[in-house]
Amino acid sequence: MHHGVSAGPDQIPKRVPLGKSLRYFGDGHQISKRITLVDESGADRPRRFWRIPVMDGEFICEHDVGRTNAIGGGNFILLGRSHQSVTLACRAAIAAINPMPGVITPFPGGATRSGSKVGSRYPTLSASTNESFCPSLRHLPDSMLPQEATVAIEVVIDGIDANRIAAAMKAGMEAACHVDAAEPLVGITAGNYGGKLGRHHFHLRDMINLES
Amino acid sequence: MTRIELTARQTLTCRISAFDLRMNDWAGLPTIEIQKQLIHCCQQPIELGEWFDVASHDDAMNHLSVVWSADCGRIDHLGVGWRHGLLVVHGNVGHACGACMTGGRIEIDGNAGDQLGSAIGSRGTGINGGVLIVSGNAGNDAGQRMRRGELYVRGSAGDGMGSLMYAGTIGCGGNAGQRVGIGMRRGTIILPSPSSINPLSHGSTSRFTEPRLLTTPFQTILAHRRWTKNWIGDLIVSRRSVCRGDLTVGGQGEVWF
Repeated sequence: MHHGVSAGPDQIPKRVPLGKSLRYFGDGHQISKRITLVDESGADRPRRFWRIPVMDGEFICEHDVGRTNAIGGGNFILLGRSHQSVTLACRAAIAAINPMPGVITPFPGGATRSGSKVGSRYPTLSASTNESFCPSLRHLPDSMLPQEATVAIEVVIDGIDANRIAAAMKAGMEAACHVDAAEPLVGITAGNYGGKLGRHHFHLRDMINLES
Repeated sequence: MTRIELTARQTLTCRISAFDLRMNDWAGLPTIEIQKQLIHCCQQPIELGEWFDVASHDDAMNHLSVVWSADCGRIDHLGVGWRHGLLVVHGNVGHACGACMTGGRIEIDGNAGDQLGSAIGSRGTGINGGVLIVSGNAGNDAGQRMRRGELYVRGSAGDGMGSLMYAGTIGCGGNAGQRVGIGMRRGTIILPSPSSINPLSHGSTSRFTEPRLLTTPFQTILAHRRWTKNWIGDLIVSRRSVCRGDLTVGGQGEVWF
């Protein structure tokens, strides 16, 4: 597991504990390794790794990793007539986004079927299913699913800054539109959350008009 | 940062102990002060300047560098307690080189004597951090009581390599003598072959388990670092088996081969 930030605690004091907590899963069989690596400034820096035995070999992670401020939750939702067509479009979008620096698609496979909205009718939950795009809840008055769409899958993008997220969204949407599938997508939209979630708003029409 | 170069004026004829040299404190010292540092020759204190020419200048590196261009095979305790920066010896070194070091890197372009990076005197811990690399052979008890850090010997090593080690990593590219890893608690010893530990020859009384398939992605992390020399990388990535031990002390150390 690599975090991409090689600076140590003296340069990035904000840390996220990884192996620091996960090591206990090794139940005494875990192995600590503190080895010297060269950081971005060219200086030797000791970094601590944990090797935890698991059922297919070893899980390896760093003791802790540096944390930096970034933007989370850039997204677009692909709408289609079948799972196959939307899945193909999703894979093309993720493949276009993956090589781009400074952005990640944090969900497994890069996309999620369980898109969420802010809040819930249950007070203890801060997020719940986004019923506006659930095919089984099409009868609700606030459904936003087009008539011909039966599947919606959301691609979520986190990034270092707004420009990189915008560029990744544009690349992802273009790749999704140009995928060679039997059925084309019905549409592309995004979770809006009433425009109240976060400081950064990514308007899809602006994204598409971005200069490459 | 400062780069300090020491060149021998003549071939050393008696054994010298560099135990009192604190080379990590030389950064910023004028050359004349470095020449006045005391070493012990035949148990008599003499000034370093009597045997060595010392030159000091600033370089582009961001760490202290001390370079000995001499056959230091008669100098013991070189780099004892080394904490940071780079110590290079273009030649052999005597006994107890890098003993009790806690950081930085020591590179020896030659052979090393006994107790390479081991615990000396009343100290209970040998290498406690940093990297010690020997391009030639090493004597007995290399890496004894090691707790942290890395020690690599390109050639052969004597008896007792990695004995009583608590943790850390030791690599040996040639033959290792007897009692390798005896009493080791944790840590990793990397060998070309298991002959030094004989995991199968003693049956149930063996100090090490039978060899198992080595499957750890940590090999790649260990082998592919910017400073890692080619022979170290090759030594690490070509290992395919692992034994665990020393079982007689309940150790969970590992020997890769």
